[in-house]
Amino acid sequence: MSKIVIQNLNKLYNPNKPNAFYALKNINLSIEDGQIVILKGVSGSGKSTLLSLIGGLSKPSSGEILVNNQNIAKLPDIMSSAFRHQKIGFIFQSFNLLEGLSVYQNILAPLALTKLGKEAMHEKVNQAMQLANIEHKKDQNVGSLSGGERQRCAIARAVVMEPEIILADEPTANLDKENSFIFIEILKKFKLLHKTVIIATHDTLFDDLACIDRCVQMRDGELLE
Amino acid sequence: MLRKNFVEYAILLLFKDRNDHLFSFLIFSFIVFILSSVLFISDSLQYDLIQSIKAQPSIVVENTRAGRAYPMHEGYVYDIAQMAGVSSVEGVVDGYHYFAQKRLWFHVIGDAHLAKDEMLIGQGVQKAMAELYYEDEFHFLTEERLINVKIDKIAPKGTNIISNDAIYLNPNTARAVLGMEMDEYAKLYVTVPNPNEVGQVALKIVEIYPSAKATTQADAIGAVRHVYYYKGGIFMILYVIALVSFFILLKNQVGLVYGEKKKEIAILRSLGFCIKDIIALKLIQNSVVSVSAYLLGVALAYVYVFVFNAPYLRNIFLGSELENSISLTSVVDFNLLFLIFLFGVIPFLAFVILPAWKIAISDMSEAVKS
Amino acid sequence: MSIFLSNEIIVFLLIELILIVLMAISQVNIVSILRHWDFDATTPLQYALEKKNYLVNTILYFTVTCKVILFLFFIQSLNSLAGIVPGAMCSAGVVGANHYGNALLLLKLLLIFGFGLWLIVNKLDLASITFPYLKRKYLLFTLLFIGVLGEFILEILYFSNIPLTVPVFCCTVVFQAPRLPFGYTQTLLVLFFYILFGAILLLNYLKQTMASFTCNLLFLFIAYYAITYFFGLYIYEMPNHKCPYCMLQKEYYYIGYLIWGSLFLGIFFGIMPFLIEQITQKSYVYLLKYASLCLIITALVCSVYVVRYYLMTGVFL
Repeated sequence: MSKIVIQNLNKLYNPNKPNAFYALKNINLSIEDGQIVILKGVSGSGKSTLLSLIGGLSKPSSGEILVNNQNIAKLPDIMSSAFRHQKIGFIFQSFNLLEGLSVYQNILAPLALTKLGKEAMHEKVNQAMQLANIEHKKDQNVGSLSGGERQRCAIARAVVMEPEIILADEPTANLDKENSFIFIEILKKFKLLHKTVIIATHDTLFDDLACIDRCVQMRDGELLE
Repeated sequence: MLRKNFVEYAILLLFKDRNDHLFSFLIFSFIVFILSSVLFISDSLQYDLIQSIKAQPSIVVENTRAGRAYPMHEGYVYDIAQMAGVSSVEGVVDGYHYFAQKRLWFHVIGDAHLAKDEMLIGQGVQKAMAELYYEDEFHFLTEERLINVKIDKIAPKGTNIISNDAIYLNPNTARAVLGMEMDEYAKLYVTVPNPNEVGQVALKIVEIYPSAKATTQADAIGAVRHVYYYKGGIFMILYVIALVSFFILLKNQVGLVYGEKKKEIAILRSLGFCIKDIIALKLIQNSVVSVSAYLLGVALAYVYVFVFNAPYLRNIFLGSELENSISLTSVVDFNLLFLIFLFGVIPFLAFVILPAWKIAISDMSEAVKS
Repeated sequence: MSIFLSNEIIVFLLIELILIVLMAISQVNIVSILRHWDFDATTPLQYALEKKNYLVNTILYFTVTCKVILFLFFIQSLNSLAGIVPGAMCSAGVVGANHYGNALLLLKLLLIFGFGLWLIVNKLDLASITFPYLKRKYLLFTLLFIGVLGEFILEILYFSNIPLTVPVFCCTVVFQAPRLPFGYTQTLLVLFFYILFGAILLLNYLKQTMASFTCNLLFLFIAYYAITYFFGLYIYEMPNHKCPYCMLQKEYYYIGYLIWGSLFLGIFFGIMPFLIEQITQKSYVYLLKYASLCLIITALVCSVYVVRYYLMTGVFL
């Protein structure tokens, strides 16, 4: 049974208007549990849109997205958010941290929706920080972190709820070579933890990496096989 | 939605953005402050007046002729004292003397404890007299003659609410000043020990003296309540207008602030916060802002009214030409505080609902990419 | 001099007006939701409608909370109005000042019950993926909105008809001759109270929702009369003080809130399962045990006062 099954997925922006266009056309894709998949393609090829849809950040115009055999495309907001909260971890290109808070407080955000006690939450945050190697900066305001550190804080936040699926949109676009390699090390940890990872990127660094299971090319909203 | 972790995180985010909420916090505090001050002063004055009425006799009888006040003679005292239920009747000399030079009316009250040439005056009277250099003695100018009385005692500050414009004289001196005969009284204080009989006795008095007015304590208290009720009500209506304008302003302000916060909301949504959670977050934050602003406003009002005696504001209620320096009794009613709370906090939250919803439903996917 | 200048009335009407505006906004949105709703559609319009659903939700949660607070505030305000309405010594005189008073109170209570029903149906609706009860839920909302408008009109009529110069009746007059359909004796009333109470407990245990619904509605009126004309006497310890409102005051340790609160809550939980079954075809009987619990509290508190009086004095009133 595949972890993620996408069937006949379409996303049309600005329907019924003169500037309507298909960001995704008839996407069919299957991703197995524990696989690390790269979505390759230039800007505008639709990879970010596809990630958005898988993560439930937006809704498709038609088609199905089955995760663990449940169609998440038509879930009402409460359930879609609960799914996102428990099963998905996002890593964004621009990191998307909450400015004005510390690293610890940023990582705590997803836990605010849980009923865990203080010690349990503390434990989870610590584990996440260890995985991302950002423990030493835990009380620092995110505004004063370097690019690589911000990325690692974002990673820690993405994994604190121990999600099954990690979605990364251009994770290395704003990082230097050294930090990009650090990201790849963390990717290997994800592999060991048997997480399903989808990375949308046009960074050639990911070519020929041993931990990558599949590479899917995209162009103009379609998959190239 | 009201889980402890969630509420704590909402407050954490609030403190991070406290500057954004400063505007609403300060203005709302100010509005609550003004409203509470007005209501505190009003209630306190009402309380004082009612207390002083309760210390008065059960029935106050005044005579009228052609609709104006007219003195009563001993016969009245005798007749009323004969009625069943009446334990005592006391005649009082009371009236107003026009102090032409300052264009003021002084309230002249007869007090049997004073000697023929002694006078006790209130602080406002003292000031007015002193301005015309009447410091040791005062001349009362009546139709018949000039009466010279020594000023020897000043009424203590605490009694100012009733004594400020008052002059206490020996009853016969007072009669001379007011142009009354030696056996005449301006008012009769009737004591009726059984409160259930007061109404009946008042009716009986009016039966035998149709032109007299018999005012019971209950009537007097009701009259005080009506005055304050009326004044308070007008104020409240002005308030409602001010409040509604504030809230429209607030709604726009909040909407603007939230517009800038779109990205942050999108981030939270991407972490799993659903629309209901975002709305709840905003409502929790605004509840904290409004409740703390309410508490601050009320506390400041309390200090302003009962510690500093409400300079400037109390003149609205104490409309007297004489300078007034009374000290307001600290009277705080739980119902009143709850009323202010309802009046302020609930509309505040009501006006925040729409902006909160608008920001909660904004599209995530674009915002997280920017 | 108008009653509308009372501080409490001004605040009260202001909040009511704000709630009406909020509900009107919801109603406008509901009309568009009901017209275009198609859950299976994946158009932006449908997604926008789903989002509007949440606005209506939030407004209603807020409205219900405020309505409950306002109901309590209303009762308290009546008591302070008694100071300026001649002849009135407590809320009873003010409520009975014109024939809109009691109707208004009953309407307020029924509306709160209605809102409670809406909240439960809404919770069930949101818990399932396809919003199955959406249309019925919103029809109910529209009914409630009409009810709220009616309530506001009734309030204006009531307040503007409170006489400020002519004395009103106080509770001794208002409650002296009850118009019970089956004749008046205290014993009969109390007997009926306990029998009905027992019947409801039994029906709740057997999960007979329809029968429980009917009995609960009947119990609402029986209990009102029983508490006012019998149990109240033992709370006030006076044979002629028949008043449902005085027990809400400080002198009686606010026991009225417990008695009336548990009664209304018990009846609410008792009538809900049947109504929910009608609307959603889903069984919701777990509320019945809360219903029983609340009614037990009511009956217990009332009975305790009677027993206490008897133990203290050796006689019944």
